[in-house]
Amino acid sequence: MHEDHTQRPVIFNAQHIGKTYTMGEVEVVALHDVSLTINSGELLVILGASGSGKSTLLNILGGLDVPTTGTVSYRGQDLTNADDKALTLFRRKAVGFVFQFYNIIPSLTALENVKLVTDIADDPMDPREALELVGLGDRMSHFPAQMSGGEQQRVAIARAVAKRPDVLLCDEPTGALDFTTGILVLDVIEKVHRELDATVALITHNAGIADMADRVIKMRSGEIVEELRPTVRKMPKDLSW
Amino acid sequence: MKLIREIGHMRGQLLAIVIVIGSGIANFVAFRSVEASLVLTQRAYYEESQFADVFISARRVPESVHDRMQAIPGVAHVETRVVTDVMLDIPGLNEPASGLISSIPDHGQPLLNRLHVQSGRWIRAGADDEVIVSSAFAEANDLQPGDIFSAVINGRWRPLTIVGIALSSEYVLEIRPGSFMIDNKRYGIMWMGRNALAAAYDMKGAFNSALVRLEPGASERTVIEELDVILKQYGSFGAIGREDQMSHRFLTDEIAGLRIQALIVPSIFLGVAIFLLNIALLRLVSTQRMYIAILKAFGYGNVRIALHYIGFGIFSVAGGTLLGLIGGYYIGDWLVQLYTRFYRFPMLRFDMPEGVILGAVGLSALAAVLGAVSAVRTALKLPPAEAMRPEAPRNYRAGFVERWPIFRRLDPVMLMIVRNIVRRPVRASIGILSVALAMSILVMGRYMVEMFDTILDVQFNRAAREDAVVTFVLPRSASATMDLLHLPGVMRVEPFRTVGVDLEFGRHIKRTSVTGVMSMPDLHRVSDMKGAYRPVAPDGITISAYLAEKFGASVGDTITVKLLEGDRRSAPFIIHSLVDEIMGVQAYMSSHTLAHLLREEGSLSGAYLQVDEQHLQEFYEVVKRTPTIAGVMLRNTAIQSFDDNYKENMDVSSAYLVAFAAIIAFGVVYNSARIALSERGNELASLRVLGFTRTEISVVLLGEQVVLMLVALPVGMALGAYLSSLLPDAMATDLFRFPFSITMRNLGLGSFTIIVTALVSGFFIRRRLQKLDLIAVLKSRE
Repeated sequence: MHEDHTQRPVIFNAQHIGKTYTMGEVEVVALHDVSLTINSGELLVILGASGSGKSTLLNILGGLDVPTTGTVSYRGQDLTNADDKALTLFRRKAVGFVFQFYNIIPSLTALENVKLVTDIADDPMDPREALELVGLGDRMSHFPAQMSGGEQQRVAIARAVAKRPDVLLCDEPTGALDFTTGILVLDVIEKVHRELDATVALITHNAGIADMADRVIKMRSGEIVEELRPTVRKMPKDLSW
Repeated sequence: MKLIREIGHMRGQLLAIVIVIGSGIANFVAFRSVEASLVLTQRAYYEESQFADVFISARRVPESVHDRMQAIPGVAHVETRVVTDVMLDIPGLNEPASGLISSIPDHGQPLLNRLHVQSGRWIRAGADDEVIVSSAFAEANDLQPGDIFSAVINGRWRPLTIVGIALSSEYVLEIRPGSFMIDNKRYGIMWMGRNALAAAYDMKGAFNSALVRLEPGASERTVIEELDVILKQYGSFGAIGREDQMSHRFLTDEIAGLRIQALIVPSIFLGVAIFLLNIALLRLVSTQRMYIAILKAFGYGNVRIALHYIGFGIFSVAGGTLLGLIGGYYIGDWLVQLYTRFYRFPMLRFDMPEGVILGAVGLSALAAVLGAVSAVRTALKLPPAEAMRPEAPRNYRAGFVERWPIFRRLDPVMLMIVRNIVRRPVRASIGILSVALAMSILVMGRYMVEMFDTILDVQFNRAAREDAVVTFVLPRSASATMDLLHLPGVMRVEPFRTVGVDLEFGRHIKRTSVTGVMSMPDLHRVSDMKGAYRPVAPDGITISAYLAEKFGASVGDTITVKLLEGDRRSAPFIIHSLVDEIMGVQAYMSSHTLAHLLREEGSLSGAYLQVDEQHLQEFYEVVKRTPTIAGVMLRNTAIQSFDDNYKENMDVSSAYLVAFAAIIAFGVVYNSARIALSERGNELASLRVLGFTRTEISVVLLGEQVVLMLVALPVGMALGAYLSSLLPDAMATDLFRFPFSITMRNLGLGSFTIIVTALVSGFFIRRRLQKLDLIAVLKSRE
């Protein structure tokens, strides 16, 4: 059941990264000396309560933010000192994002939302194909306001995977959804992971989701407190919380 | 406290609103105050100087007629005097100047049209070499009391000593009759003792000009009719009311113009400000749903919440009002300076009346309330429970856009742009209209500038191509043409005969003059507004199209021409053609027809001359010394004086209009883009996260403004052309009419200005895009 990803190349290598925000006169430490590698093809779940620093970690991996200390690289490319242009290019070429609040464009239909990304990608899928992959083949010309939350999130996933990204980063993808819809969305993520062989890093505060991972990292107060590999990886439909 | 924080947060937008409101208020304050100052000053000056109501000129009237005039019911005072045109030789001035000498009582101020002596003294009784000169003329030629110049007084050169410098309510604006340009250097008014002037012109015991002041409530029309009857036998040129008095007419038209400007200009600015405030506050309410809900949950009443947003509106216009009051003070002061250059009053001080200040404050408050009203309504309608939840996702659905095949081929970025515009049709329309308005202001301003150029071109290159016009003191026989031809440098002479007439059609009557013109003129040709030559037919009469319209007459109708000279006969004439002239309300006949009517044989009132430039100086010298010549107008000096007097003003007012339009365009584009940025910050950040570059998201944001601009420019061109086309009719007076044409250059310059302004606002917005916080945006749902 388990594939050993440790034999595959390391794509993310974060060493001793820390992140401190200055809010007014108060310094907030979001990450403290975190080291982590992610191998290609892995499905990694980062588990933690809100404020544990998991989102900050994901943002740094995704090239949305840079660490205050330490280094992070993607396939040997240094992200720590990259400028805005290089980070933009990195996101454009390599990363697919899925967020809690979908962040899809309300003025575009499902198909157009996906097309937005395939238009600027090097080797994209057909946008229709991406929507069919997430089970929205019949909702392509619907606007976000005409779709349920789960459907909107699946549009976001289709948008993220349509460019055939190397890595899919999901920040609380089920946070705004009910249980049944959440399972549906996780099922899509698992399917994409499997069928496209995409590396997935998924952050959540929901321990129930950890059972679908190859590897789970638990975070607390900006530090990694535990790392474990579930012996049995469950399919999303078997998860419960 | 919260108010202040919000204001700090929106300072860019508020600054734009403040500037737009400030501009509106500044214009309102400046125009209203200057108008009020002019009206008050005019009234006070007329009262203090006992400005006449009726003005009479005649050949020679015995002084005894004074009492008969005085006896007309409704007449309060009659002041008789001697007035004559003179040629002048001013030290330091090459070309001859001309002027008008009016008599004043030897022993002190006249009863009517009293002078305001600025410096020097009154003339000595009986002195025949002393004059008081007008302040405008003295200033232009740098003349002081004690200076001496020469004038042709009844055919003889006489040195005159300036003893005083004065102002007159009759000549607030000194403009040479028949000219449309002020030239204080070469045309001046002066005053001389009645006895000396009468002696020189054989007017002892007689007068050729009189002023009448009416009793309150008296009918000007009736008095003028009675005066005409009495003076008919003395060669009266007809009496005119204030309405037709040049200086009064110009001043009154100017005041009316200010009144219109004080209405239109601030309305445009405040209208735009209301729009900007409205969209800014609506946006504020939508970002503050939570806050409003909490206040409501805590039991704050609707009034408190309404007051908060109205307060926000008022607070933001307060800055604009203050700016406008200060700016208005300076603009008004500058306008007054400008007016005092042409309009001479003993004292014209710029004053900001309390009423105007209160009006400005009231207007601002009104703008604030109108700008806030829809935001307040939205805030009040918000039920607390619902407001606690984030705003529902914006509801886009397939609309008419999707039905257009061309839109199916647009890429998603273009679709976002188009849908965002179409989804808010009212806001987009008002935004387009505002920018279009700015464009139309530029088109109108440029039209005015180009129109002046056209007038100059038509006037000096097509219609009046003569180098000089001489007019005689009295009409002379045909042989005078030969005399003129013998003047040094004169190459061609085109004589003309002008006679004062009343034109009557039905119950309409117009006092003007008929000019008899040569059949094939070469120098001076009756021309329409576009400069096309309009030959005058051998028989019948040609009248101004403007007059024909006022009369309701058309070609083929018969009009009565009543001579104001000689035997004052009336004769019917068929209107042969109409001419759309720029200046005046003249009538024309062939010289032959006019001579026949006058029972004269080729007499002339003056002539148009072509003069060899090489001999111009000699020509000047001789003309200055020719007593029969009452005045000379020179083409070069007329053009020169235009440049001196108007060019700078035209440039300044063009710059003013450009600034005006730029402020509106900037305010609208900047604010619309800021609102769009606030509304679509999330979308734009999402795009950035997906790997769109800054330039690509700038296209999404500013593309919307570009599309609006592309629609607004042609709309503005059409609007500007339409509004400009209304101007000629609106501005038409007996003195002037204006040609209409909108050039490609005009439209090009206007578009260029708007586009540059938009680019500048785009630059400011783009700087904000650099600072877009990608992470914060992902965490919020709105």
